[in-house]
Amino acid sequence: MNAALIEVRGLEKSVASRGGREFILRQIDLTVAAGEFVSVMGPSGSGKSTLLNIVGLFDADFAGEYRLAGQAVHALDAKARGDLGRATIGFIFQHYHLLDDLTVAENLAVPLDYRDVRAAERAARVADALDRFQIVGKKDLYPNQLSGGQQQLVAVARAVIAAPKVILADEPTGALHSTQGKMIMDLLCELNAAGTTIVQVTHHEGHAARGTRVVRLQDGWLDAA
Amino acid sequence: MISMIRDLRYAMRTLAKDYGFTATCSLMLAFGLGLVIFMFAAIKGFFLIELPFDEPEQLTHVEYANPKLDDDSIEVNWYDYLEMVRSQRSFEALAAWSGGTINLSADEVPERYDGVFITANGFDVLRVEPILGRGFLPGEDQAGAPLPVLIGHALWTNRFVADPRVVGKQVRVNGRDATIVGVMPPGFEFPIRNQVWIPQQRPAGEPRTDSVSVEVYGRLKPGVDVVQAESDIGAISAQLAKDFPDTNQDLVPVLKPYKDEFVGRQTKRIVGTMFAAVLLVLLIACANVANLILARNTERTRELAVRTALGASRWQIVRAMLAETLVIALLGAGLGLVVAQFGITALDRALIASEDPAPYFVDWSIDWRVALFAFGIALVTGFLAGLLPALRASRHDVHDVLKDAGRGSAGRGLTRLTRGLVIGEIALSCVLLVSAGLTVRSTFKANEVEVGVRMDGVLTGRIGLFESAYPDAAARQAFFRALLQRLAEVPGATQVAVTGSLPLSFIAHEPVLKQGEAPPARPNDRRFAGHVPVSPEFFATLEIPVLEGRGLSAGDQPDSALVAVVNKEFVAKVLGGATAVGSQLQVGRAENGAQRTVTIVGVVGDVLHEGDLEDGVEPVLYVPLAQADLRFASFIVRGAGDPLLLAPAVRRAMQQVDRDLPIYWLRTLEDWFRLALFDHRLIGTLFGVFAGFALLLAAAGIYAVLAFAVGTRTREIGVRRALGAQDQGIMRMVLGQGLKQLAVGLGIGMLLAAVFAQLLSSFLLDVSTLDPVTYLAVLAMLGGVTALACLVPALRALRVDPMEALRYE
Repeated sequence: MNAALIEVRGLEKSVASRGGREFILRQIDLTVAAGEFVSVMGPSGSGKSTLLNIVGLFDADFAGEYRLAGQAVHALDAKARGDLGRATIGFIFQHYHLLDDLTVAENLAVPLDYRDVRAAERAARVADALDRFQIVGKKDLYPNQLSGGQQQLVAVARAVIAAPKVILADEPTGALHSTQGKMIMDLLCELNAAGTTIVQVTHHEGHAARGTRVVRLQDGWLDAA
Repeated sequence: MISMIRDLRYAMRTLAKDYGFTATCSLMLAFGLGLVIFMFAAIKGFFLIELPFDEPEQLTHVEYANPKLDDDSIEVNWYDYLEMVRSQRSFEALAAWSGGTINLSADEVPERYDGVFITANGFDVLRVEPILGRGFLPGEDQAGAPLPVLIGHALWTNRFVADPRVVGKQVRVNGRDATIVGVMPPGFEFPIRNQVWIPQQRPAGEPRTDSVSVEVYGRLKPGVDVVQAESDIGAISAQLAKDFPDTNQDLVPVLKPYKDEFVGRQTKRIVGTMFAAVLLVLLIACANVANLILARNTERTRELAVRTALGASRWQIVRAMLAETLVIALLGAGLGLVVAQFGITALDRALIASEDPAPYFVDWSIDWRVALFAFGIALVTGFLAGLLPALRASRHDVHDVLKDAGRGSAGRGLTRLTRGLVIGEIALSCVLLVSAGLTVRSTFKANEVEVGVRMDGVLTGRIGLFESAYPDAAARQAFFRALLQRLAEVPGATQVAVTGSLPLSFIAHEPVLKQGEAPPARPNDRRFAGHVPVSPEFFATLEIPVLEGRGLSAGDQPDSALVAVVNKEFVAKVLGGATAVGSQLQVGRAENGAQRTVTIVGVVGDVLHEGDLEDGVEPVLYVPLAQADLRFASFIVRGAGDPLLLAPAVRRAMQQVDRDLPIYWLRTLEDWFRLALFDHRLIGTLFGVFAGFALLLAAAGIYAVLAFAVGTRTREIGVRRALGAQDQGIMRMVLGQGLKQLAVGLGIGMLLAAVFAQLLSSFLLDVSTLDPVTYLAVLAMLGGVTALACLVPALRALRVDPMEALRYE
């Protein structure tokens, strides 16, 4: 068994409401080992996005313990969390969220900019990513010149270009039609096969099944870990 | 650094794409920055003067002050200067100059110049040499020496066609034979904007009190500072006060770097107040731009959330946002330099037209210092305008934003900030509008000032009679008689007169004692009154009413009893309201043997003279021209039509009396009035411009914010409509938002304006800093403009189709 990359113990998330506190996540225990491909499923309002938010270090307001790559996230300050996130996590969004004013190549370079990668190395890694994902011919195009599938492809390339330890994907095929969705899932499986740990939130049973494990959330509780 | 450059490059690309937004923000900042740069150029010119002389820091100006009379700038008597030269130990050399009329004639009709009478070593102290010929030699400033002349480069070029043979040319200066001995370098116009210099030759045996007052300056010895020099001159001054208490009592020497001589207290206050005013305009512009950026950032929430999700730290987001405002600010500064140049050109023209230009070395042109300042202020502005929006933009709930497919949300916090900025803009605009209103009211008051004469239809001119041509009083009297006769014959002239002092121009003063009144123990406590020799027709020509007794008549001759006519203010201030006609006065300085007994024969209405605009009328004594001795006088010609049409005939009449005598300051009396109002009009105009910009910016800002607010509330408006809201309800909702901000802004603004207006109190003529008319007018104007700015978005809100609005999402 590989070492745990993500470890969540007794995680709870609540918000203040008129009647006291409203719990969104209750007593979540989840371990994701390095190299796993975990799919998180559940109905709307079950807390999937909230869990991904916390795991992705976007939300530090939680109770319980969370260890990422061996570091106790719950004990880190904002700067340390930011540094850990840059070193560890890559994100893929349902709606791609490419930057409209940047070309494909420039979009790929953005994560490297924020990690202070030198210009020469940055250019090299962008070139590698373009080549790897076979989008060299599109490097000077803008997002509005690409189809949805192509945009998500670029978003996947952007997520992996900084060599993160884990990719978090929030409904990566949610805005795509089936062919494009399959293409993206094939890509994620390839990445996982190459060693990248992936945690995806999805509604699609078929896509969830392509991972190594499925966990289900219901009303904030985890059914299986 | 590389990251910053990358941010700047990305900022330029983003802004180029959104050129409408970029142009709007840049223009807003250009107004504010342009005014600030303009004022900095003026400050540079006045306060950062670099004298164009060798080791200028050694050049020191010497003058007197009289603390008891609150006069901090008194020129030095010529004989005091000579004593300083003899006794001082702090200067390598002291020199002096005085200004006056120089009539220069070469082969043709003489021309009058603002000339400089300077000691022979004057240019040596400055270490400036002529480019042709030589400077003045020691001894050439002694009485009776042959008269050399130095001319300026512009004069040499324009009048003498840059002929190198001008050196040695024989000319006539003030009626005397003179020789041009040299040409000064290009651009040299010491001390103000002068082109003719002759040595200061004082007549032998001249009484001390009749002598000229001079501007003294010197070059400090190495190792001696101004404080030491002041102590040195102070000792000399103290001895002079003991030796000549009548004239020198209470005088203290004041030494300062020469460049500081041209910036008085009043100038510092005016410039300082104006700089504060333009900074307010810039703040308003910054608030506007900040609001626009805040609005724009709400549409960029998705992009910013993505960047954060990709690893951007808060500082990196803030840096990227600041890069955009920096680019906008730099664009604004570039345009602002153009705005500033317009202002500088207009100010230059206005000052030259006012005949009170700044010294030639005052340089407020746009140079590297102004450009550097523009760059610096652009950086500060970019920071000011961009920081709050950048901090705001860097705080967002990443996942919520991205999960929501990127719909931005203004949020309550953003709206509060925007409202605060709008309130601030209104408050600052209020301050500027009140300042402008007060100064404009002051200008109007000045325009309405009762001068005491009928000003229309009057042509005036000035002449100076020189000793060589008119060596005694009889010759001068004969001249004036001939002049009056010739002027009366000018076609179109209905009345003519001669006077020593025109209304609204400079006036001489003499000490005055009531009959039987003992002179004060301290000479400085003497009472002075304006002293104006006039021809008998003076009062009738200017329609000054004779209120008691009679005016002056042709019968008032040198051999008849000495008489005078006084004004109402004289009766009130000097005679204490007692009967004037028939009472006698002692007029003049006893120590000169010039005191005489004069009988008052009439009382006339008050007339404003020099400086009276702010201080009110002063006591004046009018004496018969025939019983005085004038060398410099003004003539007055009243005609039926446009007085300027009389000018050619007047010149010909003068030529018939003396062909070598030029007329100068040939202008109407109304022109004198306009010149007297120049300072008021200038300040009023400048504040009006500042306030105009502020109003424009504030209105634009309020409109933009409200328009954006309506845009973000489209769904809400649609829902309200669907629920039954009618036009008044929608209008009330939109207008109410704007008018609430207006009310708060006005309340704060009025209080701030009342405080700021105190800085203007010394410039205002007969207007209180709390003038209710001004404050009410500003309330109405700002309220009206803001209401209009609110109206357009409000009307747009009425056109929102409920169904469209509900499909908006």
